[in-house]
Amino acid sequence: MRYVIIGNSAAGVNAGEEIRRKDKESEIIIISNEKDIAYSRCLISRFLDGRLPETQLYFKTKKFYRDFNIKPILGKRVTAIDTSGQSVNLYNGERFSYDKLLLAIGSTPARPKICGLDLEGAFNFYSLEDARKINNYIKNVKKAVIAGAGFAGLEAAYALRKLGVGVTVVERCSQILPNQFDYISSELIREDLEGLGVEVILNESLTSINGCGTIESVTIGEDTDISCSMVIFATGVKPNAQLASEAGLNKDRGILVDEFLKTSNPNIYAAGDCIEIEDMNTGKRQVSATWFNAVLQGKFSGLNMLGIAKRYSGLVGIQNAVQFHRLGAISFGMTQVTDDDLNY
Amino acid sequence: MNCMSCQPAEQKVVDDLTRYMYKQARQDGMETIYERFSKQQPQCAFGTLGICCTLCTDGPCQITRKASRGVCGADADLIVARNLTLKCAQGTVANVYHARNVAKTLKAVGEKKSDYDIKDEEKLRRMAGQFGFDGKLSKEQLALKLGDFFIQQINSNDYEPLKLVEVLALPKRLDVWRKLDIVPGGPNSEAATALSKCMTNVNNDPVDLLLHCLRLGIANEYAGLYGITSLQEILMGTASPNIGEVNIGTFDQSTVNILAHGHQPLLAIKVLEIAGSKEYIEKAKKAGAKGIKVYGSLCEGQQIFNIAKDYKNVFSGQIGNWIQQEFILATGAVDVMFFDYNCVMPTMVDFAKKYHTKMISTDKVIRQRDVERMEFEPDRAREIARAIVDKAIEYYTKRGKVNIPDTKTQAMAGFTTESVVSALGGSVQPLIDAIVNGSIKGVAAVVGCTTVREFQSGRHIKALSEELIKRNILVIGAGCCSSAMQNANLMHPDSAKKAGSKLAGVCSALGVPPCLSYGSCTDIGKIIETVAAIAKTLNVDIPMLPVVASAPEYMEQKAVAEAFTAVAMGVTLHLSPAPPVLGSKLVTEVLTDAVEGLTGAKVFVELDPVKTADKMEEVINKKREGLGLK
Amino acid sequence: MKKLYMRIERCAGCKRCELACVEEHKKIDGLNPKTRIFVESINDRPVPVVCRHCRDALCVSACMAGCMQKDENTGIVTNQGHEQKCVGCWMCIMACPFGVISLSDDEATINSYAFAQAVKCDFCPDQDTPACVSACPNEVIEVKDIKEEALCGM
Repeated sequence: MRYVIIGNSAAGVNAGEEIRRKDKESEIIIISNEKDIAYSRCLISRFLDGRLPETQLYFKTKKFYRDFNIKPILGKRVTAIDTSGQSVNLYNGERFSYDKLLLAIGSTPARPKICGLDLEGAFNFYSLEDARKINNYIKNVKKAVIAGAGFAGLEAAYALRKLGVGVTVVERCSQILPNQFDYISSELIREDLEGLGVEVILNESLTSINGCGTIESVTIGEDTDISCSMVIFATGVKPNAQLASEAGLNKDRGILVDEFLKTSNPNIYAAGDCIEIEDMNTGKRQVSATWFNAVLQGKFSGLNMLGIAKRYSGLVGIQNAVQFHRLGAISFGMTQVTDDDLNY
Repeated sequence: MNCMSCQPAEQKVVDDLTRYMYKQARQDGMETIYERFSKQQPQCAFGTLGICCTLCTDGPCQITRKASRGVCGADADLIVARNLTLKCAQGTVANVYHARNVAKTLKAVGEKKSDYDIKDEEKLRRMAGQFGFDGKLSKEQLALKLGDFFIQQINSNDYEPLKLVEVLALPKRLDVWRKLDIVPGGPNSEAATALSKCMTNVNNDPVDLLLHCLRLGIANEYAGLYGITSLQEILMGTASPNIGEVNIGTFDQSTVNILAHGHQPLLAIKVLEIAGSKEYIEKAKKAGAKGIKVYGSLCEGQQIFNIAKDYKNVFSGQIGNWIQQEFILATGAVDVMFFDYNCVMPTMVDFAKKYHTKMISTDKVIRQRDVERMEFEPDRAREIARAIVDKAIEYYTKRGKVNIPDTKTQAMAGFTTESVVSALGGSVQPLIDAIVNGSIKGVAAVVGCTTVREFQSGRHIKALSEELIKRNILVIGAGCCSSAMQNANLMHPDSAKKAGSKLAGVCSALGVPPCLSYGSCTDIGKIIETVAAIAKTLNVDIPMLPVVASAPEYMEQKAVAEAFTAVAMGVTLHLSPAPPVLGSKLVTEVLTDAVEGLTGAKVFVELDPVKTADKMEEVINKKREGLGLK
Repeated sequence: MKKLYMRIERCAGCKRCELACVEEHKKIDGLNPKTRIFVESINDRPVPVVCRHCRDALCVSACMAGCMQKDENTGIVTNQGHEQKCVGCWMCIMACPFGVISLSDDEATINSYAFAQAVKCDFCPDQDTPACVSACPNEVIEVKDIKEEALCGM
């Protein structure tokens, strides 16, 4: 048997490990467009502010692929899935056939459609590569503006403050962490952050980024300008479902799977940020982008791919845990706003 | 396992008005008994089981699976028995202290050195006659002699059997006690001997200690409880049925409010007189109030409630029980709280400060730091009462925020042997007839304290009483149990409809509730008097009667003494929570089984109110069978 | 697989287990050591609660740093002693259904480890018998070695 896993993060790696624990013989391949070995995406802020070296970001050991006999194909993008031929095509023409395929392809950071996105000094804060780029650019940056006060945005804000950069966070909603905490808790966390010197502007979004070649300022709302030399976009992520839809698999916002994490194709499974899963509590489907869910989905999909039927039905709302400065916080349950205004 | 450990304190409070005031107190940042209880969890099971001994410096010792004896050699049986005896002694002497105060006052009346009169001369003469005093003497002379006699009895030696017991006890009971060699001498001396026995390496015989507890229990009744109540009746009058208001909603915002809290009502009588006087009503009005109202809480409130007929224009309600005291002050409506004895939480000082209440202690045993003392003497009672009411008027003008819950509750109090007999037409026979024909299955005394322990806080008392009356068992309440039943609307004649049809019928016919309040915990002495009177009429010993007792939320040491009183009297007793004896197989077996062979009664523990009612009913049924009743 | 089992009817609530645990872990936790065993009050009775070293430990799945791992041989779940290091992110604390993981965030810990550390029962790696078991006067806690199915994920 050959198991092909696209995606080298929480879901993909744990699926691979799970399969190998039960099946010592079959071939397992993990393909990723990122060139880094499996690192914890949640830790990149601690890399950015210097608390963790790169080598401490890996959530499996450095010898993981060797110990578990998994073949990593890194830095190469999959461009198409051939469902009838049961193979995946890479950007450079390489093809890998599969008996079972797992799409653990995560999500992509969204950017608002505004002017100035091409100016130098604009970054995402999603991958380790993003963090490296910010790291290289940060030396002469005195002030940065961060769009979005979700986890990623606030982690970035915290990291930048630790590096001595002035930070303003601009958030569209009337509270920070709108998908994680209720209003009262978010206010407490905001106070905690403001104690560090982070400025938070609510109920506003960026309308343009201004400058000549490099960023000089941003405009928020009608006509308020903030001078800065760096902008970080943390305005949300969209599940990567295009590969799936081009292959004819069912999708909505994310790839649609059943309770065994199987897509509409019997040999293709999906797990992690790229899927939509049903919330037991509300009966509604939603994207479940957290590390914890991705790990569990990875493990479950691995078992199901092995033929061990294991229902994944644990989703009851979302769990979140965070501590930026002094205040640690945990939330459970119906933590997400219900409207669709996350789509840009 | 049902998880109640995270249950917020509010849910433990069964009474709505208390819960309302609890929320207020919490909003005001006050820590209450419920928070303190939570912080103490989990509580040490060595203590709960009675197998912790802290007597000497070779300890403190615990009996564990690894250590079956303390350092001195004491085993679990001995440690448990010692600990229990100490509590029994404490409770006994506490009651006796109260009795001695009443006797002192009676003596002072005889010496014409007091502010009091003889209210019930008939009773004085009858009692004096029982003890052989000349009926031709004046009432002052008899008061002197009787008061003095009581004090002598209290101070007599443990090797001199109490004349009180020999005269007052049911002869058949006295026989049982003589055979067991447990007729006690002077209670303070008995307690002193008990304390000596409980020292390290003195008495090593747990059974001897338990028998000593029975002695203390008997002394507790005659020198303590009965002494208190009968001598108080001579000075204050005897209880008679009356309806009044109860619980926290009773407070009146527009009047000067005085709260009498504790167990010794003699001073309160004078306060009632002063507060009801024209002179002081005028003073109050000058200060802007509509008048003056005196309320009672705890057992003092119950005792005043019992005789409230005489003070209708000024006594305005029995406010509450031990748990409620902090919440009572949280209304901000109490201008002066004067207290005399027992059951005052140290934190009342904080609540008084927060809610503008002036606290005044009126007995030397109940002193508190930074609290003004006006200590009662029989000939200074009026003077102190005036000072108390003056202070109350002064504090009325300093009131802060007042928050009184909106609900009014009423109850009937005033039951005791005499008034029950009177209600029945002059003898206990109608009650006996009702028991014989089954319209009253039996009588259950539900007495004692309230606790905040898991699932209690008034909950067990209420649920148990409701169950018992449903089964046509007449309930007699005393102590904080009375308060809990009053708050739960079980003591108004209207609540007869909550009883089974037979009991309801009897109660409706007599215009009484199915739960009769005898008043304070010291009125347990009167409950026993009633039970003895029934036994006497039927010419049987007490264990034969379809009577059972329960202290479903007992808390403190007087209750331990009363438990031994009940067992010595031959009344089987339910206890909840379990007393600290379960760490000793011997003591547990003696109390729950073997003692029945000695005195005709035993103890059983049950934490669930419905199951408690089942077991109490079972006891009653067995007694009925024994009497040949269906 | 090693587990701690409780005979809860014997528990007296003396908390010697908690004290022994704190003492044993002082060297890891620094100035403000935390117990990894908790004596709770349930239905008016003391009950000791401790990590179950779950077969399918949720803390392991939740761990973002990869340091929380279940040992294949002993079954012990711990975040110490691995290549990956704890970053004090709260995830395992959030995930544990028994609530037996705490955060050690005093100055000494943060100075030693750069991050606050999640602390949980580690089965006392330096002792033959866990400290809580030795300390209990009533033999409430027992170490049992039970057969657990080979790790099969969730």
